[in-house]
Amino acid sequence: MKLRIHNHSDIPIYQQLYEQIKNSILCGDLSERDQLPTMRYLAKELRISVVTTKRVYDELEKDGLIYSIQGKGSFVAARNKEIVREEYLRKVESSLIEALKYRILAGLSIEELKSMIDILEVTDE
Amino acid sequence: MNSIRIKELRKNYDKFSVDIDDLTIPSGCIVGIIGINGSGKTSLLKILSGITKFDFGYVELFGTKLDGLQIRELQKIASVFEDINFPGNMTIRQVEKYCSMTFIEWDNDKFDLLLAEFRIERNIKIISLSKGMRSKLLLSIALSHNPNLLLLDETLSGLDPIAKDVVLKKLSAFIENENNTVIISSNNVNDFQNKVDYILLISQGKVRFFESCERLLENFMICDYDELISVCGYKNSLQGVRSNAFSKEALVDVNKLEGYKNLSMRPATIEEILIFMEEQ
Repeated sequence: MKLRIHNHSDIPIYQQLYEQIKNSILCGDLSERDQLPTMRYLAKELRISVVTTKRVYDELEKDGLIYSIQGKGSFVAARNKEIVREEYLRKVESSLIEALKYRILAGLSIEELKSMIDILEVTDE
Repeated sequence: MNSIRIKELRKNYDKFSVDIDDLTIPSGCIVGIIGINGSGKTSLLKILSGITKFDFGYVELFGTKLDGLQIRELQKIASVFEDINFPGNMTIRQVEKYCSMTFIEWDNDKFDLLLAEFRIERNIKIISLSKGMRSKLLLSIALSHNPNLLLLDETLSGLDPIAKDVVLKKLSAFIENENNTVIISSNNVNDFQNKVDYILLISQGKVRFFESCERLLENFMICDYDELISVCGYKNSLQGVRSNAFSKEALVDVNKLEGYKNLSMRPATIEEILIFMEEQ
């Protein structure tokens, strides 16, 4: 998992870290049951406060992305398959909204748009 | 777990008193003490190290009263002070021998590694060490007797930026064990920005605040003073003011501010917090 923190960014450090870990989990860099580095190790390596890394882990856990076992550490949660699917569905939806916006500008009818999908599907294989 | 608990502590000096009502410091963190010269930073550290006996109050370290600690427990406290040093004509080799005989849990291998890392030669005398080398030596000793609490007084001053970085990295590694705590004072307040977990601001012997850096960054903001007073409910939030010939700025705690939606603000650095709060 690659993590980069910008000390002087407008985005708060805890938010940068949260987003990057969340992305690693959702895009499959980290798999179910993978162990995450301890929050103290993370704080030391990234040169940030343990108060910050604890906050990030607490939020990730609250959002169902990780779970913690007392004395063992924090792990990527199993539920993330659903969350990943949700993310992808959201991406499909926003892409379609884009396509629908541009089809009007291109003068494409809904039928023509649908056949475009079929054509693209075939060429993709 | 708490490393330190202080209740109604009072120590009287000639010109001021250390007067702390209620302070609890958790373990597993680095606390940066800031304050102007003479505010009580060193005094507090000396009280916590057991070097200075206090007049009234209650101080508890690792769950035990400070004056009830046995030798072995006292050696779990490692301190580095600017004005406490070994005799000038002792060599480092002699200092090392002294330490191995004094500290029950002395770890010579660790000391070796640290001296090598800081490039300190064993044959030189204490008196010929530069300020920075002295700090590195004392820190090496402090880290080599397996302490749980590090009390460092101005240990970063006199270090070049690279050495500071190395030291801060070592402190971070030290608190990777959540039973360990570091309390470090500095006049160069920006050393602490993003590098410590909590800030304790001392002023005239009293604790003005003890907050996590996270909370400070989120809540302490600087805005235009005139804009501020036009907002209702600002009085509780005002922490300090600074003016020059062209403008007047205010430091606010937004947690205590009502109705500030249109106020333009920027986060304060720790140095600004100190300056604004101390400016009369």
